[in-house]
Amino acid sequence: MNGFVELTVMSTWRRLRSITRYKLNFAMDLVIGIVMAAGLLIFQYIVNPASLQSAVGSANYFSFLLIGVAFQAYYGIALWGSPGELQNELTTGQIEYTFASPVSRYAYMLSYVFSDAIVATLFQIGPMVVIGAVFSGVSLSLTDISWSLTVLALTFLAFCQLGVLFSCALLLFKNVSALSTLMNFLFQFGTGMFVPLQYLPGALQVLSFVIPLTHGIDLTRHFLMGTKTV
Amino acid sequence: MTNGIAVEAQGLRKTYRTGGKEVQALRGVNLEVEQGKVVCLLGPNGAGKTTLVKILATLLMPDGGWARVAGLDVVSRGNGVRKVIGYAGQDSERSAYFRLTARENLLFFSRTFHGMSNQEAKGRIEELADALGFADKLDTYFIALSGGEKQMFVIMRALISRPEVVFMDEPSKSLDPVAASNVRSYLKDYARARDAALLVTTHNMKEAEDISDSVIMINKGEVLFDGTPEGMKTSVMKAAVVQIGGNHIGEDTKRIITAIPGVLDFAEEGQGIRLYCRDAYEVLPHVVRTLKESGNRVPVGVEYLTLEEAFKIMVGGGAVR
Repeated sequence: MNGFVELTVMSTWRRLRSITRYKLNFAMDLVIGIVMAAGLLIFQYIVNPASLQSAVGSANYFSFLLIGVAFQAYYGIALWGSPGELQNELTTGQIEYTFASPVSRYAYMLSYVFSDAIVATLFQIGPMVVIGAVFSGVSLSLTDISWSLTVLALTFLAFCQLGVLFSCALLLFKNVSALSTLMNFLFQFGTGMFVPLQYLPGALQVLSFVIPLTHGIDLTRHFLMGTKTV
Repeated sequence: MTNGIAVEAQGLRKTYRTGGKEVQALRGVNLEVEQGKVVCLLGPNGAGKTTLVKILATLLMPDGGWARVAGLDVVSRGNGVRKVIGYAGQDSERSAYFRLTARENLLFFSRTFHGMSNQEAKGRIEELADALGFADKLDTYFIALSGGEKQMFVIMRALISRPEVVFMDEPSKSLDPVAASNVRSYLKDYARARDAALLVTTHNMKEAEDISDSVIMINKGEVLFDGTPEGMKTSVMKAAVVQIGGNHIGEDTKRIITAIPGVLDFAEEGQGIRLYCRDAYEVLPHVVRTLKESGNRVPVGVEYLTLEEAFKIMVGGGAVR
Protein backbone atom coordinates (compact mmCIF):
# COMPACT_ATOMS: atom_id res chain seq x y z
CA MET A 1 0.00 0.00 0.00
CA ASN A 2 2.85 2.37 0.89
CA GLY A 3 4.38 1.64 -2.48
CA PHE A 4 1.15 2.50 -4.23
CA VAL A 5 0.75 5.76 -2.32
CA GLU A 6 4.36 6.72 -3.08
CA LEU A 7 3.81 5.87 -6.75
CA THR A 8 0.68 8.00 -6.88
CA VAL A 9 2.32 10.91 -5.08
CA MET A 10 5.32 10.84 -7.43
CA SER A 11 3.14 10.48 -10.53
CA THR A 12 1.07 13.45 -9.38
CA TRP A 13 4.25 15.44 -8.72
CA ARG A 14 5.51 14.61 -12.21
CA ARG A 15 2.24 15.67 -13.80
CA LEU A 16 2.14 18.93 -11.88
CA ARG A 17 5.74 19.71 -12.88
CA SER A 18 4.88 18.97 -16.51
CA ILE A 19 1.59 20.84 -16.80
CA THR A 20 2.81 23.94 -14.99
CA ARG A 21 5.94 24.10 -17.14
CA TYR A 22 4.13 25.97 -19.89
CA LYS A 23 2.36 28.65 -17.90
CA LEU A 24 0.15 30.09 -20.64
CA ASN A 25 -1.15 26.67 -21.67
CA PHE A 26 -1.79 25.81 -18.02
CA ALA A 27 -3.75 29.02 -17.49
CA MET A 28 -5.79 28.36 -20.63
CA ASP A 29 -6.56 24.82 -19.47
CA LEU A 30 -7.99 26.25 -16.25
CA VAL A 31 -10.07 28.84 -18.07
CA ILE A 32 -11.35 26.30 -20.60
CA GLY A 33 -12.81 24.13 -17.81
CA ILE A 34 -14.79 27.09 -16.55
CA VAL A 35 -15.85 28.21 -20.03
CA MET A 36 -17.00 24.68 -20.84
CA ALA A 37 -19.19 24.62 -17.73
CA ALA A 38 -20.79 27.92 -18.72
CA GLY A 39 -21.07 26.67 -22.32
CA LEU A 40 -23.19 23.75 -21.24
CA LEU A 41 -25.90 26.23 -20.28
CA ILE A 42 -26.71 26.59 -23.99
CA PHE A 43 -27.98 23.03 -24.06
CA GLN A 44 -30.55 23.86 -21.41
CA TYR A 45 -32.54 25.64 -24.12
CA ILE A 46 -32.57 22.88 -26.76
CA VAL A 47 -34.37 20.34 -24.61
CA ASN A 48 -38.07 20.40 -23.93
CA PRO A 49 -38.29 20.84 -20.11
CA ALA A 50 -41.68 19.16 -19.85
CA SER A 51 -40.49 16.12 -21.77
CA LEU A 52 -37.33 15.86 -19.62
CA GLN A 53 -39.37 16.29 -16.44
CA SER A 54 -41.66 13.49 -17.48
CA ALA A 55 -38.79 11.17 -18.49
CA VAL A 56 -36.28 11.62 -15.67
CA GLY A 57 -38.11 13.58 -13.02
CA SER A 58 -36.18 16.84 -13.45
CA ALA A 59 -36.27 19.59 -16.05
CA ASN A 60 -32.69 20.74 -15.30
CA TYR A 61 -30.84 19.54 -18.42
CA PHE A 62 -27.81 21.66 -17.58
CA SER A 63 -27.17 19.71 -14.35
CA PHE A 64 -28.07 16.47 -16.11
CA LEU A 65 -25.41 17.21 -18.72
CA LEU A 66 -22.82 18.45 -16.24
CA ILE A 67 -22.94 15.18 -14.33
CA GLY A 68 -22.66 13.30 -17.63
CA VAL A 69 -19.60 15.35 -18.62
CA ALA A 70 -17.94 14.77 -15.24
CA PHE A 71 -18.53 11.02 -15.54
CA GLN A 72 -17.24 11.08 -19.10
CA ALA A 73 -14.02 12.68 -17.88
CA TYR A 74 -13.53 10.26 -14.98
CA TYR A 75 -14.42 7.09 -16.84
CA GLY A 76 -12.11 8.25 -19.64
CA ILE A 77 -9.24 8.57 -17.17
CA ALA A 78 -10.04 5.28 -15.42
CA LEU A 79 -10.45 3.34 -18.62
CA TRP A 80 -7.89 4.87 -20.95
CA GLY A 81 -5.37 6.57 -18.66
CA SER A 82 -3.34 3.44 -18.13
CA PRO A 83 -3.47 2.03 -21.70
CA GLY A 84 -2.72 5.53 -23.00
CA GLU A 85 0.38 5.81 -20.83
CA LEU A 86 1.58 2.34 -21.79
CA GLN A 87 0.98 3.11 -25.46
CA ASN A 88 3.14 6.19 -25.05
CA GLU A 89 5.83 4.20 -23.26
CA LEU A 90 5.73 1.56 -26.00
CA THR A 91 6.26 4.27 -28.59
CA THR A 92 9.08 5.98 -26.76
CA GLY A 93 10.75 2.81 -25.54
CA GLN A 94 10.46 3.82 -21.89
CA ILE A 95 8.40 0.72 -21.18
CA GLU A 96 11.55 -1.42 -21.16
CA TYR A 97 12.96 0.54 -18.24
CA THR A 98 9.59 0.55 -16.47
CA PHE A 99 9.13 -3.19 -16.80
CA ALA A 100 12.75 -3.97 -15.90
CA SER A 101 12.23 -2.17 -12.58
CA PRO A 102 10.85 -3.89 -9.46
CA VAL A 103 7.72 -1.73 -9.27
CA SER A 104 4.43 -3.64 -9.35
CA ARG A 105 3.01 -3.26 -12.84
CA TYR A 106 -0.54 -3.29 -11.49
CA ALA A 107 0.26 -0.59 -8.92
CA TYR A 108 2.08 1.41 -11.58
CA MET A 109 -0.93 1.33 -13.91
CA LEU A 110 -3.32 2.32 -11.12
CA SER A 111 -1.05 5.07 -9.81
CA TYR A 112 -1.00 6.60 -13.24
CA VAL A 113 -4.80 6.66 -13.34
CA PHE A 114 -5.13 8.02 -9.79
CA SER A 115 -2.61 10.79 -10.35
CA ASP A 116 -4.36 11.72 -13.58
CA ALA A 117 -7.69 11.89 -11.72
CA ILE A 118 -6.18 14.02 -8.94
CA VAL A 119 -4.69 16.54 -11.35
CA ALA A 120 -7.81 16.62 -13.53
CA THR A 121 -9.99 17.14 -10.45
CA LEU A 122 -7.84 20.02 -9.26
CA PHE A 123 -7.50 21.87 -12.52
CA GLN A 124 -10.22 20.79 -14.96
CA ILE A 125 -13.15 18.71 -13.78
CA GLY A 126 -13.26 20.22 -10.28
CA PRO A 127 -13.47 23.88 -11.35
CA MET A 128 -15.92 22.94 -14.10
CA VAL A 129 -18.26 21.12 -11.73
CA VAL A 130 -18.06 23.80 -9.02
CA ILE A 131 -18.79 26.60 -11.48
CA GLY A 132 -21.51 24.48 -13.03
CA ALA A 133 -23.09 23.79 -9.65
CA VAL A 134 -23.28 27.53 -9.01
CA PHE A 135 -25.13 28.08 -12.29
CA SER A 136 -27.37 25.04 -11.91
CA GLY A 137 -29.51 26.44 -9.12
CA VAL A 138 -29.65 23.03 -7.45
CA SER A 139 -29.41 23.09 -3.67
CA LEU A 140 -27.15 20.33 -2.38
CA SER A 141 -26.93 18.79 1.06
CA LEU A 142 -23.74 17.29 2.51
CA THR A 143 -25.42 13.88 2.50
CA ASP A 144 -26.30 14.15 -1.19
CA ILE A 145 -22.73 15.15 -2.01
CA SER A 146 -21.28 12.31 0.10
CA TRP A 147 -23.49 9.71 -1.58
CA SER A 148 -22.64 11.08 -5.01
CA LEU A 149 -18.92 10.99 -4.31
CA THR A 150 -19.24 7.41 -3.07
CA VAL A 151 -21.03 6.41 -6.27
CA LEU A 152 -18.45 8.24 -8.36
CA ALA A 153 -15.58 6.56 -6.48
CA LEU A 154 -17.10 3.08 -6.91
CA THR A 155 -17.71 3.64 -10.61
CA PHE A 156 -14.18 4.99 -11.01
CA LEU A 157 -12.66 1.98 -9.21
CA ALA A 158 -14.69 -0.44 -11.33
CA PHE A 159 -13.49 1.24 -14.51
CA CYS A 160 -9.90 1.26 -13.24
CA GLN A 161 -9.96 -2.54 -13.26
CA LEU A 162 -11.40 -2.53 -16.75
CA GLY A 163 -8.60 -0.11 -17.67
CA VAL A 164 -6.02 -2.59 -16.38
CA LEU A 165 -7.60 -5.26 -18.58
CA PHE A 166 -7.37 -2.93 -21.59
CA SER A 167 -3.75 -2.25 -20.67
CA CYS A 168 -3.07 -5.96 -20.80
CA ALA A 169 -4.83 -6.11 -24.16
CA LEU A 170 -2.62 -3.25 -25.33
CA LEU A 171 0.55 -5.06 -24.26
CA LEU A 172 -0.66 -8.14 -26.11
CA PHE A 173 -1.94 -6.50 -29.30
CA LYS A 174 0.19 -3.29 -29.26
CA ASN A 175 -2.72 -1.11 -30.35
CA VAL A 176 -6.30 -1.06 -29.11
CA SER A 177 -7.45 2.26 -30.54
CA ALA A 178 -10.37 0.63 -32.42
CA LEU A 179 -11.59 -0.91 -29.17
CA SER A 180 -11.26 2.48 -27.50
CA THR A 181 -13.39 4.15 -30.19
CA LEU A 182 -16.06 1.45 -29.91
CA MET A 183 -16.18 1.63 -26.11
CA ASN A 184 -16.33 5.41 -26.07
CA PHE A 185 -19.24 5.35 -28.49
CA LEU A 186 -21.03 2.73 -26.43
CA PHE A 187 -20.47 4.55 -23.13
CA GLN A 188 -21.35 7.99 -24.42
CA PHE A 189 -24.60 6.98 -26.06
CA GLY A 190 -25.63 3.82 -24.20
CA THR A 191 -25.35 4.93 -20.59
CA GLY A 192 -27.54 7.97 -20.47
CA MET A 193 -24.48 10.16 -20.20
CA PHE A 194 -25.88 12.92 -22.41
CA VAL A 195 -29.25 11.60 -23.55
CA PRO A 196 -31.78 10.26 -20.99
CA LEU A 197 -32.00 6.48 -21.19
CA GLN A 198 -35.77 6.82 -21.27
CA TYR A 199 -35.43 8.37 -24.76
CA LEU A 200 -33.53 5.34 -26.12
CA PRO A 201 -35.20 2.42 -27.97
CA GLY A 202 -36.10 -0.55 -25.74
CA ALA A 203 -33.30 -2.83 -26.96
CA LEU A 204 -30.67 -0.17 -26.27
CA GLN A 205 -32.11 0.39 -22.83
CA VAL A 206 -31.59 -3.30 -22.04
CA LEU A 207 -27.97 -3.02 -23.20
CA SER A 208 -27.45 0.09 -21.12
CA PHE A 209 -28.56 -1.71 -17.94
CA VAL A 210 -25.60 -4.12 -18.12
CA ILE A 211 -23.06 -1.30 -18.29
CA PRO A 212 -21.97 -0.31 -14.75
CA LEU A 213 -21.47 3.30 -15.81
CA THR A 214 -25.22 3.65 -16.43
CA HIS A 215 -26.01 3.01 -12.78
CA GLY A 216 -23.20 5.25 -11.54
CA ILE A 217 -24.44 8.19 -13.55
CA ASP A 218 -28.06 7.44 -12.72
CA LEU A 219 -27.48 7.24 -8.97
CA THR A 220 -25.39 10.40 -8.93
CA ARG A 221 -28.17 12.29 -10.71
CA HIS A 222 -30.65 10.82 -8.28
CA PHE A 223 -28.67 12.06 -5.25
CA LEU A 224 -27.80 15.46 -6.68
CA MET A 225 -30.86 16.32 -8.76
CA GLY A 226 -33.57 14.12 -7.29
CA THR A 227 -34.18 12.33 -10.59
CA LYS A 228 -36.03 9.03 -10.85
CA THR A 229 -33.68 6.02 -11.02
CA VAL A 230 -33.71 3.79 -14.09
CA MET B 1 24.74 -14.98 -5.89
CA THR B 2 25.89 -18.55 -6.36
CA ASN B 3 29.63 -19.24 -6.33
CA GLY B 4 30.43 -15.74 -7.54
CA ILE B 5 28.36 -16.25 -10.68
CA ALA B 6 26.05 -13.29 -11.19
CA VAL B 7 24.46 -14.33 -14.47
CA GLU B 8 24.17 -17.81 -15.90
CA ALA B 9 22.15 -19.30 -18.71
CA GLN B 10 21.86 -22.76 -20.18
CA GLY B 11 20.29 -23.68 -23.50
CA LEU B 12 18.36 -20.43 -23.88
CA ARG B 13 16.08 -20.47 -26.88
CA LYS B 14 13.80 -17.84 -28.32
CA THR B 15 11.82 -17.86 -31.55
CA TYR B 16 9.88 -14.89 -32.93
CA ARG B 17 6.85 -15.55 -35.06
CA THR B 18 5.87 -12.67 -37.31
CA GLY B 19 3.92 -12.64 -40.55
CA GLY B 20 3.76 -16.44 -40.68
CA LYS B 21 7.55 -16.66 -40.46
CA GLU B 22 9.65 -18.07 -37.66
CA VAL B 23 12.93 -16.46 -36.76
CA GLN B 24 15.13 -18.28 -34.28
CA ALA B 25 16.76 -15.47 -32.33
CA LEU B 26 18.49 -17.71 -29.79
CA ARG B 27 19.42 -21.35 -30.43
CA GLY B 28 20.60 -22.74 -27.13
CA VAL B 29 22.77 -20.04 -25.63
CA ASN B 30 24.96 -20.84 -22.60
CA LEU B 31 26.80 -18.15 -20.67
CA GLU B 32 28.24 -17.17 -17.31
CA VAL B 33 29.12 -13.74 -15.98
CA GLU B 34 31.10 -13.56 -12.76
CA GLN B 35 30.64 -10.94 -10.08
CA GLY B 36 32.96 -7.97 -10.44
CA LYS B 37 33.46 -8.61 -14.15
CA VAL B 38 32.52 -6.71 -17.26
CA VAL B 39 31.49 -8.91 -20.16
CA CYS B 40 30.89 -7.55 -23.65
CA LEU B 41 28.37 -9.24 -25.85
CA LEU B 42 29.50 -8.94 -29.47
CA GLY B 43 27.77 -9.88 -32.68
CA PRO B 44 26.46 -8.46 -35.95
CA ASN B 45 23.02 -6.86 -36.25
CA GLY B 46 20.29 -9.43 -35.66
CA ALA B 47 22.67 -11.85 -33.93
CA GLY B 48 20.39 -12.17 -30.89
CA LYS B 49 22.27 -9.92 -28.43
CA THR B 50 19.32 -7.70 -27.56
CA THR B 51 16.99 -10.70 -27.24
CA LEU B 52 19.45 -12.32 -24.83
CA VAL B 53 19.75 -9.15 -22.73
CA LYS B 54 15.97 -8.70 -22.67
CA ILE B 55 15.45 -12.26 -21.44
CA LEU B 56 18.03 -11.74 -18.69
CA ALA B 57 16.36 -8.45 -17.74
CA THR B 58 12.98 -10.27 -17.53
CA LEU B 59 11.54 -8.30 -20.44
CA LEU B 60 11.08 -11.38 -22.62
CA MET B 61 10.22 -14.98 -21.81
CA PRO B 62 12.51 -17.66 -23.23
CA ASP B 63 10.98 -20.53 -25.20
CA GLY B 64 13.45 -22.99 -23.76
CA GLY B 65 16.42 -23.30 -21.44
CA TRP B 66 16.86 -21.34 -18.24
CA ALA B 67 18.65 -18.29 -16.93
CA ARG B 68 19.46 -17.03 -13.45
CA VAL B 69 20.46 -13.56 -12.37
CA ALA B 70 21.91 -13.24 -8.86
CA GLY B 71 20.85 -16.84 -8.36
CA LEU B 72 17.21 -16.09 -9.21
CA ASP B 73 15.39 -17.68 -12.11
CA VAL B 74 14.40 -14.97 -14.60
CA VAL B 75 11.00 -16.57 -15.24
CA SER B 76 9.79 -17.77 -11.84
CA ARG B 77 11.57 -15.09 -9.74
CA GLY B 78 11.26 -12.16 -12.15
CA ASN B 79 10.44 -9.59 -9.50
CA GLY B 80 13.43 -10.64 -7.41
CA VAL B 81 15.64 -10.26 -10.47
CA ARG B 82 14.26 -6.79 -11.18
CA LYS B 83 15.23 -5.70 -7.65
CA VAL B 84 18.93 -6.29 -8.27
CA ILE B 85 19.40 -5.23 -11.88
CA GLY B 86 19.99 -1.98 -13.69
CA TYR B 87 18.92 -1.76 -17.30
CA ALA B 88 19.76 0.60 -20.14
CA GLY B 89 18.05 -0.27 -23.39
CA GLN B 90 18.68 1.06 -26.87
CA ASP B 91 15.90 3.66 -26.90
CA SER B 92 17.52 6.65 -25.27
CA GLU B 93 16.20 9.45 -27.44
CA ARG B 94 12.66 9.51 -26.08
CA SER B 95 12.62 7.22 -23.10
CA ALA B 96 12.03 9.81 -20.37
CA TYR B 97 9.66 12.67 -19.64
CA PHE B 98 10.39 15.53 -22.04
CA ARG B 99 8.96 18.29 -19.89
CA LEU B 100 11.01 17.39 -16.83
CA THR B 101 14.68 18.18 -16.37
CA ALA B 102 17.24 15.39 -16.24
CA ARG B 103 17.40 15.80 -12.45
CA GLU B 104 13.61 15.68 -12.07
CA ASN B 105 13.43 12.60 -14.29
CA LEU B 106 16.11 10.82 -12.28
CA LEU B 107 14.40 11.80 -9.05
CA PHE B 108 11.11 10.44 -10.35
CA PHE B 109 12.60 7.13 -11.53
CA SER B 110 14.69 6.56 -8.41
CA ARG B 111 11.84 7.26 -6.00
CA THR B 112 9.04 5.65 -8.00
CA PHE B 113 10.75 2.57 -9.34
CA HIS B 114 13.40 1.92 -6.72
CA GLY B 115 11.75 3.23 -3.56
CA MET B 116 14.65 5.55 -2.72
CA SER B 117 14.07 8.38 -0.26
CA ASN B 118 14.16 11.94 -1.55
CA GLN B 119 17.47 12.64 0.19
CA GLU B 120 19.08 9.40 -0.92
CA ALA B 121 17.97 9.91 -4.52
CA LYS B 122 19.22 13.49 -4.65
CA GLY B 123 22.61 12.46 -3.26
CA ARG B 124 22.95 9.60 -5.71
CA ILE B 125 22.04 11.82 -8.66
CA GLU B 126 24.74 14.33 -7.71
CA GLU B 127 27.27 11.56 -7.17
CA LEU B 128 26.61 9.97 -10.56
CA ALA B 129 26.51 13.27 -12.41
CA ASP B 130 29.85 14.33 -10.92
CA ALA B 131 31.46 11.02 -11.78
CA LEU B 132 30.20 11.03 -15.37
CA GLY B 133 30.70 14.72 -16.10
CA PHE B 134 26.97 15.40 -16.35
CA ALA B 135 26.56 17.86 -13.46
CA ASP B 136 26.06 20.91 -15.69
CA LYS B 137 23.27 19.16 -17.62
CA LEU B 138 21.17 18.02 -14.68
CA ASP B 139 18.86 21.02 -14.81
CA THR B 140 18.32 20.88 -18.57
CA TYR B 141 14.94 19.68 -19.80
CA PHE B 142 15.19 16.17 -21.21
CA ILE B 143 13.86 17.37 -24.55
CA ALA B 144 16.71 19.88 -24.82
CA LEU B 145 19.50 17.35 -24.25
CA SER B 146 21.59 16.23 -27.23
CA GLY B 147 21.52 12.60 -28.37
CA GLY B 148 24.72 11.84 -26.48
CA GLU B 149 23.48 13.57 -23.35
CA LYS B 150 20.26 11.57 -23.46
CA GLN B 151 22.34 8.42 -23.75
CA MET B 152 24.37 9.52 -20.72
CA PHE B 153 21.08 10.08 -18.87
CA VAL B 154 19.96 6.54 -19.68
CA ILE B 155 23.26 5.16 -18.35
CA MET B 156 22.86 7.17 -15.14
CA ARG B 157 19.30 5.94 -14.76
CA ALA B 158 20.46 2.33 -15.06
CA LEU B 159 22.98 2.87 -12.26
CA ILE B 160 20.87 5.01 -9.96
CA SER B 161 19.86 2.16 -7.63
CA ARG B 162 23.43 0.80 -7.33
CA PRO B 163 22.44 -2.50 -8.97
CA GLU B 164 24.33 -5.76 -8.44
CA VAL B 165 23.91 -6.71 -12.08
CA VAL B 166 23.79 -4.24 -14.96
CA PHE B 167 22.59 -4.87 -18.48
CA MET B 168 23.42 -2.23 -21.07
CA ASP B 169 22.54 -2.38 -24.73
CA GLU B 170 25.10 -0.34 -26.67
CA PRO B 171 25.81 2.18 -23.89
CA SER B 172 28.38 4.24 -25.79
CA LYS B 173 26.08 4.80 -28.76
CA SER B 174 25.95 8.55 -29.61
CA LEU B 175 28.60 9.44 -27.00
CA ASP B 176 31.57 11.60 -27.98
CA PRO B 177 35.01 10.01 -27.44
CA VAL B 178 35.63 11.82 -24.13
CA ALA B 179 32.20 10.94 -22.72
CA ALA B 180 32.53 7.36 -23.98
CA SER B 181 35.90 7.06 -22.28
CA ASN B 182 34.46 8.46 -19.03
CA VAL B 183 31.60 5.98 -19.14
CA ARG B 184 33.91 3.03 -19.84
CA SER B 185 36.19 4.00 -17.01
CA TYR B 186 33.27 4.51 -14.62
CA LEU B 187 31.63 1.18 -15.52
CA LYS B 188 34.88 -0.70 -15.03
CA ASP B 189 35.45 0.93 -11.64
CA TYR B 190 31.83 0.35 -10.68
CA ALA B 191 32.11 -3.38 -11.37
CA ARG B 192 35.30 -3.64 -9.28
CA ALA B 193 34.17 -1.42 -6.41
CA ARG B 194 30.74 -2.98 -5.95
CA ASP B 195 31.60 -6.49 -7.07
CA ALA B 196 28.88 -6.01 -9.66
CA ALA B 197 28.50 -7.86 -12.94
CA LEU B 198 28.04 -5.90 -16.14
CA LEU B 199 26.83 -7.40 -19.40
CA VAL B 200 27.24 -4.87 -22.18
CA THR B 201 26.38 -5.25 -25.84
CA THR B 202 28.45 -3.24 -28.26
CA HIS B 203 29.49 -2.90 -31.89
CA ASN B 204 32.49 -0.85 -30.83
CA MET B 205 35.47 -3.22 -30.76
CA LYS B 206 37.70 -0.66 -29.10
CA GLU B 207 35.18 -0.38 -26.32
CA ALA B 208 35.07 -4.15 -25.98
CA GLU B 209 38.88 -4.28 -25.70
CA ASP B 210 39.00 -1.38 -23.24
CA ILE B 211 36.24 -2.36 -20.89
CA SER B 212 35.76 -6.10 -20.89
CA ASP B 213 37.25 -8.83 -18.80
CA SER B 214 35.79 -11.24 -21.30
CA VAL B 215 33.76 -11.21 -24.49
CA ILE B 216 30.98 -13.40 -25.77
CA MET B 217 30.65 -13.54 -29.52
CA ILE B 218 27.19 -14.43 -30.73
CA ASN B 219 25.92 -14.89 -34.26
CA LYS B 220 22.63 -16.24 -35.59
CA GLY B 221 21.54 -17.03 -32.06
CA GLU B 222 24.57 -19.16 -31.18
CA VAL B 223 27.62 -18.43 -29.07
CA LEU B 224 30.71 -18.62 -31.29
CA PHE B 225 33.23 -17.62 -28.67
CA ASP B 226 33.35 -17.04 -24.91
CA GLY B 227 36.64 -15.89 -23.41
CA THR B 228 39.06 -12.98 -23.19
CA PRO B 229 39.44 -10.43 -26.00
CA GLU B 230 42.99 -11.70 -26.58
CA GLY B 231 41.65 -15.23 -26.70
CA MET B 232 39.12 -14.20 -29.32
CA LYS B 233 41.86 -12.77 -31.53
CA THR B 234 43.84 -15.98 -31.41
CA SER B 235 40.84 -18.28 -31.66
CA VAL B 236 40.38 -17.83 -35.37
CA MET B 237 42.42 -19.81 -37.91
CA LYS B 238 43.76 -16.62 -39.47
CA ALA B 239 45.03 -15.30 -36.16
CA ALA B 240 48.38 -13.97 -37.38
CA VAL B 241 49.01 -11.09 -39.74
CA VAL B 242 51.96 -10.24 -41.94
CA GLN B 243 51.67 -6.55 -42.68
CA ILE B 244 53.37 -5.29 -45.85
CA GLY B 245 53.64 -1.52 -46.04
CA GLY B 246 53.71 0.71 -49.11
CA ASN B 247 51.21 0.92 -51.91
CA HIS B 248 53.41 0.52 -54.96
CA ILE B 249 53.86 -3.23 -55.03
CA GLY B 250 53.25 -4.56 -58.55
CA GLU B 251 50.30 -6.77 -59.38
CA ASP B 252 52.57 -9.73 -60.28
CA THR B 253 54.38 -9.51 -56.94
CA LYS B 254 51.06 -9.21 -55.13
CA ARG B 255 49.82 -12.35 -56.89
CA ILE B 256 52.93 -14.32 -55.89
CA ILE B 257 52.80 -13.13 -52.27
CA THR B 258 49.14 -13.90 -51.74
CA ALA B 259 49.68 -17.39 -53.16
CA ILE B 260 52.47 -18.26 -50.71
CA PRO B 261 51.60 -21.52 -48.88
CA GLY B 262 50.24 -20.69 -45.42
CA VAL B 263 48.52 -17.47 -46.49
CA LEU B 264 44.86 -18.10 -45.77
CA ASP B 265 43.46 -14.75 -46.79
CA PHE B 266 44.52 -11.19 -47.50
CA ALA B 267 43.16 -7.67 -47.43
CA GLU B 268 44.44 -4.70 -49.41
CA GLU B 269 44.52 -1.50 -47.45
CA GLY B 270 45.48 2.05 -48.33
CA GLN B 271 48.95 1.56 -46.90
CA GLY B 272 49.66 -1.97 -48.06
CA ILE B 273 48.55 -5.56 -47.78
CA ARG B 274 47.62 -7.63 -44.72
CA LEU B 275 48.22 -11.35 -45.11
CA TYR B 276 46.18 -13.53 -42.75
CA CYS B 277 47.77 -16.82 -41.83
CA ARG B 278 47.94 -19.38 -39.08
CA ASP B 279 51.70 -18.99 -38.51
CA ALA B 280 53.16 -15.61 -39.51
CA TYR B 281 56.79 -16.69 -38.95
CA GLU B 282 56.41 -19.51 -41.43
CA VAL B 283 55.14 -17.14 -44.12
CA LEU B 284 57.38 -14.15 -43.36
CA PRO B 285 60.67 -15.46 -44.97
CA HIS B 286 58.85 -16.24 -48.22
CA VAL B 287 57.33 -12.76 -48.27
CA VAL B 288 60.67 -11.07 -47.63
CA ARG B 289 62.38 -13.13 -50.35
CA THR B 290 59.65 -12.36 -52.89
CA LEU B 291 59.74 -8.65 -52.12
CA LYS B 292 63.54 -8.60 -52.35
CA GLU B 293 63.55 -10.45 -55.68
CA SER B 294 60.98 -8.04 -57.12
CA GLY B 295 62.88 -5.01 -55.89
CA ASN B 296 60.21 -3.89 -53.43
CA ARG B 297 62.05 -2.59 -50.35
CA VAL B 298 58.98 -1.89 -48.19
CA PRO B 299 58.37 -2.30 -44.43
CA VAL B 300 57.27 -5.78 -43.43
CA GLY B 301 56.16 -6.90 -39.99
CA VAL B 302 54.19 -9.38 -37.95
CA GLU B 303 51.12 -8.18 -36.06
CA TYR B 304 48.32 -9.60 -34.03
CA LEU B 305 44.85 -9.61 -35.41
CA THR B 306 42.70 -6.74 -34.16
CA LEU B 307 39.48 -7.63 -32.34
CA GLU B 308 37.56 -6.11 -35.23
CA GLU B 309 39.32 -8.42 -37.70
CA ALA B 310 38.63 -11.42 -35.49
CA PHE B 311 34.99 -10.30 -35.31
CA LYS B 312 34.72 -10.01 -39.10
CA ILE B 313 36.35 -13.37 -39.66
CA MET B 314 34.00 -15.04 -37.20
CA VAL B 315 30.92 -13.37 -38.62
CA GLY B 316 32.04 -14.25 -42.13
CA GLY B 317 32.13 -17.91 -41.16
CA GLY B 318 35.91 -17.98 -40.58
CA ALA B 319 37.00 -21.18 -38.96
CA VAL B 320 37.71 -21.17 -35.26
CA ARG B 321 40.80 -23.04 -34.05
